[in-house]
Amino acid sequence: MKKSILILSLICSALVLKAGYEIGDEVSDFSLINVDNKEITLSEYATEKGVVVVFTCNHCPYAVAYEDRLIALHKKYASKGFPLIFVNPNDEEIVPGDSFKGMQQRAKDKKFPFPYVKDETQEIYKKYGATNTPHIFVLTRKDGKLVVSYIGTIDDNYRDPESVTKTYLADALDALLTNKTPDPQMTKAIGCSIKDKNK
Amino acid sequence: MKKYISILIFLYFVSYTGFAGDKIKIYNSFNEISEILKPKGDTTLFINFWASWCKPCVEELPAIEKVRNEYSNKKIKFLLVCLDDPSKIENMVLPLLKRLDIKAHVVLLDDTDYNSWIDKIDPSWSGAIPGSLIINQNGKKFYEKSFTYAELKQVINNHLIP
Repeated sequence: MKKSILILSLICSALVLKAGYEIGDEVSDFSLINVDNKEITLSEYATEKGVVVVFTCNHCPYAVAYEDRLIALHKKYASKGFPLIFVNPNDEEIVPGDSFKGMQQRAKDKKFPFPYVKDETQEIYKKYGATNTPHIFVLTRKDGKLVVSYIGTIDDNYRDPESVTKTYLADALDALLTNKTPDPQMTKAIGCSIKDKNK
Repeated sequence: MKKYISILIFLYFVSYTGFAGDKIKIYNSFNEISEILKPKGDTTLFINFWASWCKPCVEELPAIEKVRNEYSNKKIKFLLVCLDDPSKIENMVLPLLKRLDIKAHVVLLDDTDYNSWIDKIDPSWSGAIPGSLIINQNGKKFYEKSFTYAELKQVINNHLIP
């Protein structure tokens, strides 16, 4: 009896401590509303190769600074099998600019060539373990499932595209397209925390 | 005319020494700043990472300043590491510090290859700000959160070396 309680509590604590997906994890599917009011289902949007999930928002200077670069990356990699999808995880009560209307305006102003969906219940970003905006999760298809292959940031200079020396995300996608492992597979970046009143 | 030119040349060089308004030293890489992030002797160092556009960062600055004042005779030093773009110092950072009456030591770290140094502060840090490192000869702990005045006092009390 004591042994099974110990094992059970170890399992429970492991589940509690694990904060988001890791490299190699299979992701659960999601269906979220796009700025055109239509529902997007991740597994249907992803191609045979995979998909790039970007947790982002309308107001964070880091997220905004990367928009053009992410649009360019989508234009380059969507046809190769890695389209982008923008997900806004913020609570609009904390950041009014991140309301659905705000998202629609942003998508329109910047002519986003990809979906921009709202993580309305804030369940998705927690599952992924996204911590700041922008936060990238590259998913590749393996045996019909979507598996995490890269987590992190886009490059090493949010402020000045001309001064970028390390193109972390592009390099990861190039590696995956030739069936190699991205190196690095995980990167970190400063960014605005995700706004959640229940954190 | 010559006098004006030499004054202009002087100001030009001053702007490149990495100071802005005599108030905020700019460190252009993590390597440059790493020395001041090391505590000396039995002093505890509280290092806060923030930016002027980060709302929760700005909201906790007055609490940090209040504790800093109260603990001025204790063995603790406070360092506010600003991650703003240097171009924002004059029109955003300095006015903000003046408005909130923050007299703590503020420096600016301008190293945008965050992936290369975040883990050096603490591997558990995701990179979200605000975040604070408390470090002394007994060890260090990173707090990926913003503090209230009461929380900050309690956390510091737990780390201070008597």
